[in-house]
Amino acid sequence: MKETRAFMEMIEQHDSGLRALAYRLLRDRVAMDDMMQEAYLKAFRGFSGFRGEAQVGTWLYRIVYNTCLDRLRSERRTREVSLESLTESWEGAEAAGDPAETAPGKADLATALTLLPPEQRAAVLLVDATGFSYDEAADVLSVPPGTVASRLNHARSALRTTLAEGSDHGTV
Amino acid sequence: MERSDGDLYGGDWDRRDTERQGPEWRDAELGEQLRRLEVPEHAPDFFATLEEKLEAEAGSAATRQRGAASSVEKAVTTRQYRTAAKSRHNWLRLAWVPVPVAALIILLLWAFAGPLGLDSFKPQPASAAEITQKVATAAAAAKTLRGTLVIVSPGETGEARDETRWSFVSTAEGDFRLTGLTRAEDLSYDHRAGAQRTVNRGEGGELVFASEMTGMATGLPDPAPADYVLERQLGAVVRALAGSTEASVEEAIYEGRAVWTLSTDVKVNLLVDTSADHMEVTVDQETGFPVRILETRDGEFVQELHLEGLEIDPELTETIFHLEFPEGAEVIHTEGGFRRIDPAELATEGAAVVGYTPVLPSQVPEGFALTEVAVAEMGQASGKEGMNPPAPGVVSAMYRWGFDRLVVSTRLVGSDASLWSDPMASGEGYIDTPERVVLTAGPFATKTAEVLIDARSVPHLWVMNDTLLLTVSGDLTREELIAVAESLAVVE
Repeated sequence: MKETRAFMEMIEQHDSGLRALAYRLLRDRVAMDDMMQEAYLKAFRGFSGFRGEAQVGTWLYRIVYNTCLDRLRSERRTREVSLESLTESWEGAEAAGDPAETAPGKADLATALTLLPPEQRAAVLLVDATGFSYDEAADVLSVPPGTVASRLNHARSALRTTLAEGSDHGTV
Repeated sequence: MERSDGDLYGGDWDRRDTERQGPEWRDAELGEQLRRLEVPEHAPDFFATLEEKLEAEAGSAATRQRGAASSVEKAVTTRQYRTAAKSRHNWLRLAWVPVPVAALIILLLWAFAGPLGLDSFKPQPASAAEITQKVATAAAAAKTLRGTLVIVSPGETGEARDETRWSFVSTAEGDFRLTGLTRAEDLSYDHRAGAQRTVNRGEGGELVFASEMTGMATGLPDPAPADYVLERQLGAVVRALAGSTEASVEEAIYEGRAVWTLSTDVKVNLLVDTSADHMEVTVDQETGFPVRILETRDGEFVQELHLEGLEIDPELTETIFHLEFPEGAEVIHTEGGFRRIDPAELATEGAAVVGYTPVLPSQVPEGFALTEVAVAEMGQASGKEGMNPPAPGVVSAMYRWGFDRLVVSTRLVGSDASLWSDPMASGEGYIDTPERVVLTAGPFATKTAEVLIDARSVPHLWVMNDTLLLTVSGDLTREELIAVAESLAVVE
């Protein structure tokens, strides 16, 4: 159908960035695909309200982000996420040969990212990696720009600390 | 299979990086490393599977659309629809509203007015009358408020819950101050200066964000102070709930005080799996002010807001609403494009700005008085997802009665009326079902207006003629909204 086709074209324009955000939040390619199917379906339900392109990007990011958080919260109901479990998760991914986590020279940052709370991870990905303004990121994260700034501050600091500690222990 | 190019993050990094400078510091080196991280492609059948799902969804959506249309017709003919009088707020504004304000909107306005699903309330007649009288008196009579706002949300893990606390003060003139008690955030609006300011600090006390917004309109649908958060509809919504036909109202004791508890199922957001499906609002019987909102979904806790130590009409110093920026702070400034003018000068000074002879109501509900007028040569985008075009020639007028508000706005339609939809539509994830009413008097006579008194939006009416688009919104009943729209007359 015409609407379906238009929607597919729209998401294909944004999919690469959305996929990157989703993968960094969920850290699992199967979960990423499942979640993005769900998120795109949600977006499609609201798609008829759009008559322009101006804010579609942030709107899609917001839906994907919220859907990721829903999934992460759902996971938390059944298991407590700790630093150890996150580390184990990364080690498991490494053992499984997940290229996103084990690529030479990149595992350090990927691992450090996993140790951040999802909200901070999203902030640094949206602003530093994707190039969103604070206002745009605030729109995606449904928080004020000040909170974006605060999360960025924490995230950058934590990443620096983790990476420095990793270097000190020769794990990089 | 794997990609590591810059396109993974949208492909326009260079443009963004060079275009956005200033206080919004970006860690370019970190960004570059992040973009180089590898991200897996979708499974090969991802898009084919998605397309199948979308086609199936499109088919079922068409069926739902037909059902919704018949629901609207039915609602218009029922008493409950006509008596459901107030509601809430445009969620689109949350994008620029700071945290405490957003939380308040969600938990005060959203709960009191919006998502309470007015159509489903069944108040007990005696309680309804009592609540209506009490809340109306409270909203109209109060001049200042002070207290502590406590927001309780699900914790990151297990059963633990997060609690965020804010002290707040507010006046009926629109001033407010919200100060974080559990986080270093401060937000203020000084109506004399027409400036809304925010200061956020890090855990070590270092400044991480400072912003100022000026040039605001008086109210929605245009960028306006967030003052309505604490004040508007505190009473009106509860009055609406109490005056509707299907609310559940009980008398109870809360924190040692006699209260009314209003509860109902609420419609959920189609896009947010964690949105509440049930809400309970607690109103203090003596003061008439809501003191607690509890949201649940499938019986499980979603969020709670409650007020502690609420003081009505405390003495406040004017300086409390002036938030000083730390010395040397780099401030992000946002200009809304509006300027306040003396209402008496609207016909001359205002007309020169907007390019047409302004119109304002010749009648407003008893108690309301015109307090502020703002005009803009060019307004900003409005409507669901901001998809209405930025319109020239905006007049924004505020009428107040204590903490109750009425906002009337007009703007030029432009050459293509088809570009417009409801400027105050409910946010994404909600389907509005406005009542369509043909106006019988004033500049919009014979035109069909849409009246929306429903969850997720301020009670409002909007209508267009060949030249102007009109919005009337605020703490009014359906009949009052229509009467105000039909009373519009040229300002002389």
